[in-house]
This record gives sequence, C-alpha cells and structure tokens, in this order.
Amino acid sequence: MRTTHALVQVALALMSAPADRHWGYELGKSAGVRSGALYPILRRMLSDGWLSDGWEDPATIHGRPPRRYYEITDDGRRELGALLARAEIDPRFRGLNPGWAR
Amino acid sequence: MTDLLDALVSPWTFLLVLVVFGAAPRLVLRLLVRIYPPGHERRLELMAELAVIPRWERPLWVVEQLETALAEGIPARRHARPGPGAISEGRQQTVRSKSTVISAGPVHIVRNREDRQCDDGPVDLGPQPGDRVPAGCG
Repeated sequence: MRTTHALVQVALALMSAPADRHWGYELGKSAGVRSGALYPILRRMLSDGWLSDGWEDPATIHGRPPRRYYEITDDGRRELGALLARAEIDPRFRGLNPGWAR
Repeated sequence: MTDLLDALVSPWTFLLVLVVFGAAPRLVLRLLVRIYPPGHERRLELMAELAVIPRWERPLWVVEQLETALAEGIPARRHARPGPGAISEGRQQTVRSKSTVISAGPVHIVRNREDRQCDDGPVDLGPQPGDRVPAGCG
C-alpha cells in the first residue's frame, strides 16, 4: 500500500484507540480525511487483513439502520505500527507527528 | 434590509431549508449509492452513516459521497460485470444447439456429436441430452 498523507492520518486515527470499534464518519472526522479517500483506504486495509469489519446488532439500536464498524486485527496493529514508525522518520510526514500513536 | 429579512422568513426559504437539510440528502444519497453494484456493502453502509450525521453537515457530506461512489462504485461495477469474452447462458444454449465446440486455438466445429473424443481436444460445453459417453472415457 502506497504511503500517503491520507493513509498516515487514517493510521493515526485508528491507532489512537487500537482496541476500539471505529466508524466511518467518526474516523473521517478524527483523521481529517474526506470520505472519497477514506473508504478506498479502509477497503484496502480490509483486503490486506489489517482490519476486520462487522455490523451493529439491530437489537441494540433504535430508529436507524445498523452501521458498519471496523476493528484493527493483530496483523493490522503490527502493520500500522510499522507504517507509523516509517512515517515518523519520513520528512514528508513531519507535520503529522506519527510517533505519539505508537 | 427589510427585503432581505422578508426573504429569510418567507415560506419559500423555509421550504428550501426543509428540502436541503431534510429530505434531499437522503434522496440524493439513495441515487448515488446506486453507482455501486447491487448487494455492495457500501450501499447500506453509507445510508446508515447518514443517519448519525448532524443535519447541518448532511448536504455537504452527501456531495462528498459522489467522489466516494465514483472512485469505488464504478471499478466495483466493472469488476462485477463479466468480461467481454464471457458467453452468456443464452448464447451457450445457441452454441450447444448447433453442436459447435469452442476451443482455445482455432475454431473447431464438431459436425457430429458421435465424433467427440475424450482426449485433450476442443473444450466441450458440457453434456448434451442424448449424448453417449465414448468407451474408455472416465
């Protein structure tokens, strides 16, 4: 996967709460990435096994359809950590401060 | 100034606000997700996301989804579509009825079903009604 600003920003947002469930809209907000870039990144991460996904249990929600969530897998934690480590020493991502999320 | 205030409190403005922040985002998103092939997970996902987005952000968020749908939906639709070399079910039936066997190499026409062999010959399209299996074929 090509390391872009959007990818590093999404990785940062995911690794800020590595054990939590992540939702598309909130992830886009916290990463500061528009959805046109976010969803293709999530799709790639899913196909590479970095993330797993699931749907909310309809019994636990009222008045709206169930949402899709994303969780980091063990592989994903390792790969995202490595990606942030590389980004930390890459001058292109100096402004993003990728070190804090590891 | 009073004209501006009148325009702001007019029923038409109220109606426009209702449409832009009310029904229109959902309607437009419903149309946009149709860019994805039927059964694609993003169709449901985006519609579900819209429900949790604050109303004042919805119009802009829905417009953003045009980019998402174009970037993902068109390749997904192209991927879901069979390739140009694929033979449709109807075409296969026509080919079978004429006893034409298509091979990877030059076109090979079996004029008579009895001539078929069980070696590495042309690709068979499957058993035909009334076919007899040649002796020695597994």
